[in-house]
Amino acid sequence: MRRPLLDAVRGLDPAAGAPEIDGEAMLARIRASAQGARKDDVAHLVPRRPSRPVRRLAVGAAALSAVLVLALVLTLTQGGGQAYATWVAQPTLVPAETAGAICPEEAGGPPPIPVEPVLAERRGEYTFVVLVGDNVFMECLISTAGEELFVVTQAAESGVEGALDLGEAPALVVVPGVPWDPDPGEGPVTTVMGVASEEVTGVRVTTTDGVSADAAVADGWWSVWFPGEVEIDDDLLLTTPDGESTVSLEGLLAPGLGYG
Amino acid sequence: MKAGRERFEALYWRHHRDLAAFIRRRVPLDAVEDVLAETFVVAWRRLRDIPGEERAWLFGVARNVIRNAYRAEARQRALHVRVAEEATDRVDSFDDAIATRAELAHAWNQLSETEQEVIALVAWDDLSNAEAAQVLGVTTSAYAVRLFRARRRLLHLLERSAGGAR
Repeated sequence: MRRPLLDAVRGLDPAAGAPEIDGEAMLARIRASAQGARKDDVAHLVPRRPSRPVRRLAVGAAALSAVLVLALVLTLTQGGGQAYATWVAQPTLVPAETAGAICPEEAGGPPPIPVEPVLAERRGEYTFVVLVGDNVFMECLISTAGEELFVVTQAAESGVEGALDLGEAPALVVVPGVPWDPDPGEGPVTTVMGVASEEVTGVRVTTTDGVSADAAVADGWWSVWFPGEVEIDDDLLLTTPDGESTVSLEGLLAPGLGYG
Repeated sequence: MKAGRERFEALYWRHHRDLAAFIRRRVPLDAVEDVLAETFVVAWRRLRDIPGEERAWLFGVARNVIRNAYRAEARQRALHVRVAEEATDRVDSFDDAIATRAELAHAWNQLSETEQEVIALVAWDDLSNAEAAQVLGVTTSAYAVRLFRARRRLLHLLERSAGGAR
């Protein structure tokens, strides 16, 4: 898939058209330099491996998650001034067409592409809506905290043709934990969403701090969001009629969206 | 020993041009050969440790050499681009076709050094997300998020710049 912005940036490459180096002369120089270097001289120049979240022991994972979720909910609901105080880890599915009525009807473009709500999930006083159109999808976060509904924030990703094709995968991740900081909201939120096959009935997402939340799953899409700017753990727990299985978020990144 | 030398030289010929370009984007021209030579000396000394993703590993070494040797001297070019203000040709491949090259360069130069590096690794150095993540020493998903945010900020700066110019 083309990524137009990156294509445009490619045209700014300051190294384009630069003279080639003399490969043979450089190799001779390297050979001469290598004779005098000691092996331990270079350890600090070797790239470090990425640190991975520590994988919890399977036996304790469920109990630990439950405790942490409970602690989070208690903290958020009893904290008074906490941001997104009513957020809960288990969403309530609400009718997408009704909930998404105040979200934009078009996205992407030009020209703008009509989008339809396909999934809406409520967590406390906020409703998150996924809208989909031809070659585009959109996230829309609505506040239902006051008497009047309003869109807290929205974002669209266009040019997604082909990226949503599940192939043999049970699910794909199209937003892998992207933080937003909406102006009228209560601070940053982090969203994770994707598409899923019909057999997937549940997706549980966990932050690297150990907070788990269940995604809402509907109409081939799933979504979850967390209060704050959080880092998402690589383990996703998928539920199908065969039971639960842990899969790698990284391994399910949808190709062509700039993530995979 | 002979096998090691052959492997090293094959590695060198496979990657020295791409690596020289990677370095040229980040240091003054007169320093490119020094960094390139030092990077390959590290590769020679650590030949057995080089993983399958050898290009990303080499770029990571070069990045460390540059940071180690040049950051203190403020000699890094920091991925800035120079484009004449009169460069009014449209950026053909950009969807909206509203930005000139000068506007794009102006927006690019307003990005932070970190944001520029995240985008440059895929746009200029032609690395995959997985390779770029390895160069930076982060997971692919963490890199993907950084790229998403850097692209979004560049778009925002570009829209502001192009909007203001009209």
